[in-house]
Amino acid sequence: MTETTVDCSKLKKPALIAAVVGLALSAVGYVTNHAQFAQSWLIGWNFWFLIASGSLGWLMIHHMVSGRWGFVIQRPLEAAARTIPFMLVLFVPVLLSMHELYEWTHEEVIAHDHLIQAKLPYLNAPGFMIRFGVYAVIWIFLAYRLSALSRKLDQGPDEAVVKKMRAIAAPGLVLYALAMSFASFDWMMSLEPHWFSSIYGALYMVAGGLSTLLFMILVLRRVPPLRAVATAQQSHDLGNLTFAFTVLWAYMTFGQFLIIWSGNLYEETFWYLDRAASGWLVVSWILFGFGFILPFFLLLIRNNKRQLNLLATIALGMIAVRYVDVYWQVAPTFRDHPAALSWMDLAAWVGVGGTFLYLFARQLEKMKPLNQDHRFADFIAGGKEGH
Amino acid sequence: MAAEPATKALGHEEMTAVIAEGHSFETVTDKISKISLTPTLPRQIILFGLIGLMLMGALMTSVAMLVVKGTGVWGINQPIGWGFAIINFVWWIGIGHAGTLISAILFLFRQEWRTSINRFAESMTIFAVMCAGLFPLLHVGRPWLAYWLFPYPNVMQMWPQFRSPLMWDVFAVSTYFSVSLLFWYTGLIPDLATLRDRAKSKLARIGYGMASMGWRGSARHWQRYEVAYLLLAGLSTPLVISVHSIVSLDFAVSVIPGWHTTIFPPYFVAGAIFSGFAMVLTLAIPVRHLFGLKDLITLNHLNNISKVMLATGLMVLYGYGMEVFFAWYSGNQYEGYMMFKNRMTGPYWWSYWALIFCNGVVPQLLWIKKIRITPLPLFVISIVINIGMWLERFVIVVTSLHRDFLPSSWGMYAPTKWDWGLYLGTIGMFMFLMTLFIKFLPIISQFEVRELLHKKKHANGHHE
Repeated sequence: MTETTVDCSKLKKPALIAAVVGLALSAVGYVTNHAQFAQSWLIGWNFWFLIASGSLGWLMIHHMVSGRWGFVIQRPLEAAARTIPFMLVLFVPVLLSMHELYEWTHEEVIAHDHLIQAKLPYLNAPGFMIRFGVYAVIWIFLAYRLSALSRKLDQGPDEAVVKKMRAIAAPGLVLYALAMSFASFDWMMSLEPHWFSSIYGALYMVAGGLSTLLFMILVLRRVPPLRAVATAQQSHDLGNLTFAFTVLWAYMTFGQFLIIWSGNLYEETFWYLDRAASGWLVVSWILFGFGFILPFFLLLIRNNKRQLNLLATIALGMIAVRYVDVYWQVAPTFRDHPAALSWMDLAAWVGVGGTFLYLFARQLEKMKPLNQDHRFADFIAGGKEGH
Repeated sequence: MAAEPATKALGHEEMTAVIAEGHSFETVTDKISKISLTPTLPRQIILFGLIGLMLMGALMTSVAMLVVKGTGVWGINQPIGWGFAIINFVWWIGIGHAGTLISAILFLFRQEWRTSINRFAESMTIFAVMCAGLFPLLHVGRPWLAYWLFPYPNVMQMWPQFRSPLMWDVFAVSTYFSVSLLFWYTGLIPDLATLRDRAKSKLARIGYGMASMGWRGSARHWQRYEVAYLLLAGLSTPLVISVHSIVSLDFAVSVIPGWHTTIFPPYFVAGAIFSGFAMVLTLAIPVRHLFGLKDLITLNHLNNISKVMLATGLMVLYGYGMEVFFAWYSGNQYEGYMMFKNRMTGPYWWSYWALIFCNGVVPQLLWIKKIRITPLPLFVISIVINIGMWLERFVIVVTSLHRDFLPSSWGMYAPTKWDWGLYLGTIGMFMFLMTLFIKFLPIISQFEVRELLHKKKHANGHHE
């Protein structure tokens, strides 16, 4: 097995610059126009957090199923999952902007709104923060415990460690799913406190899972020691998973829409009516066309999945659509027109993204880039032919 | 079905084995084809088939009664127009999901452990879908006019309502059945040829000979077979998801409290797989015991099936949890009433809590590895899950319909003996068809097990 470490200096420096510039500009935004900053930050932060949290989810799934696709990206997944505590620190600006974001914190609105009053036992600032703390404990524990165990495997095969990872991952996935779901209700769904959809949590996780896969494909392409061991088969596997998650995302997104459209109850439809208003309708169609139709056909073609460079190009386009999705979830609450972009949108995305990528690179540098798990070694030795 | 004494001493090797040591191509073929080619069956299987045949009598009587007198013989009324017919339809369709999942999706994922249970599960799927199809067919009231469900140009200038998911069901279920049947039959052909070649009696040779469609096992045959099988697997995969999603839409697109919720499609699919795997265990555990197939359907198989059940069971539980949370969070008074005042504490409270016990509490035992590899408790758990999944459909159909928006239009539902006759009758039909299958067709895919054996030997050869 290769002993080289990853040289991340090429990524670290620009990422650090982006982080500093983006965060500085965002800080200016926070002072000058807090309301605008809050929206921009929530959108930008969400985009990157979905990758960090999605990595933890995939890591646990990998420990459960030990698929051959997982061994190559296991270390990047661990590195990304280990950024979670820092990403959660970056959530503090949202906590400071609750008044700007969440209508249910406004006393005067609550006073006249019977529905929000009924939801107050859940939708209240202390509850929001306590739950945030609970989610944080769950995610951080899982991410650090699992990556620590994985490093133990670097010393040599140890069945006991593998078993322990499984023993954590199985109940871990249950806790993870619950935390992610309620986090999505808190952070995203409650932007429209009247609106509700019981699939929202699952949809949030699937969107995160998709973002993570796309990010990992790009990492595999860009990080030399990983690229060196990645066979066409692994690229194919990741391509297939991306395909499956694209379809799953479309299935859930469309299912939610169809059920709400058919029911035609205003308490639910207004969310879609906002997104069918003049400018937003275009974004909705873009999401359908570029989030589902185009990737569906591109990823159906075998060659596009087996050649990592082609797959990475597709992934780059698809990850841009992931931003559109987050934007489409959040912004219609505040903006009448999708073109009402602000420079702060970019600043927040760059600032959070730079920080995430810098931290990710630092974590990855500290690890052996390839996991030294004997099962992986067996698998590589067993042949690259791939059945 | 005593617990196997070897259970305790199992090492890692045995636990991960998808086929026990010591088998050759010959022994595998002998063992499996013997079941079909021996004129006798174990007494228990004969009894099983006879009970099935007896219950089919109940089925015939119930159907005759229904056709003569009309749906009034059932317990359905206003407002509960759906009753047993829909509960049982959804229950059977759900059971029919394991086969295609095991055969198609696990095939595409190259999961080796699917090989010795796929044939079994596929047959189960076909029979379950046949049982399921009976219910809507009879529920239309005039089954001889059921072809009106299909859109065809007609002199009445009448078209089905394309915006209704009930209409989509017609397409989804009939597609699912046709593709599953084709998939099952395609997979059978090489094995039918084996039986043809081994059969002693003339009748068997002619029968298997015709069914195997001239299969000679030439390289070209195999090449075409592999392509066809892969294509059918690809075609079947979206069907696994679509059928039960559409079934869920039968409920979810309405505005009935307890039905109109967006989690329904994925949660129904998870529930279908959950119940399908439970039924696979219910049937596979006795069969592996009676025919001495413990070396082909190994403890590893049971372990893997249990894990899938645990995972899908947790997804179903997540669905229940979301239903409860959103009944409150939505702030909709009807949804809140339905969940807290009706399902949990209303006249049918027992069905809700029995459901939670069967599908939420009992499957948690599967976290324990010892239970996952001990046939007897697994068998009991699988039956409890079958009951739980039936209760789930009962809760959904009955509790939501019997009390909707206007208290003046509330009602109660109780099935009649004809409802039970029809339901037990379909179980009998299922049992009888399974018996015929066990008697006449190879219950484990012989050539796929041989292929697995070959792969395994090949891999071992490299390591040594």
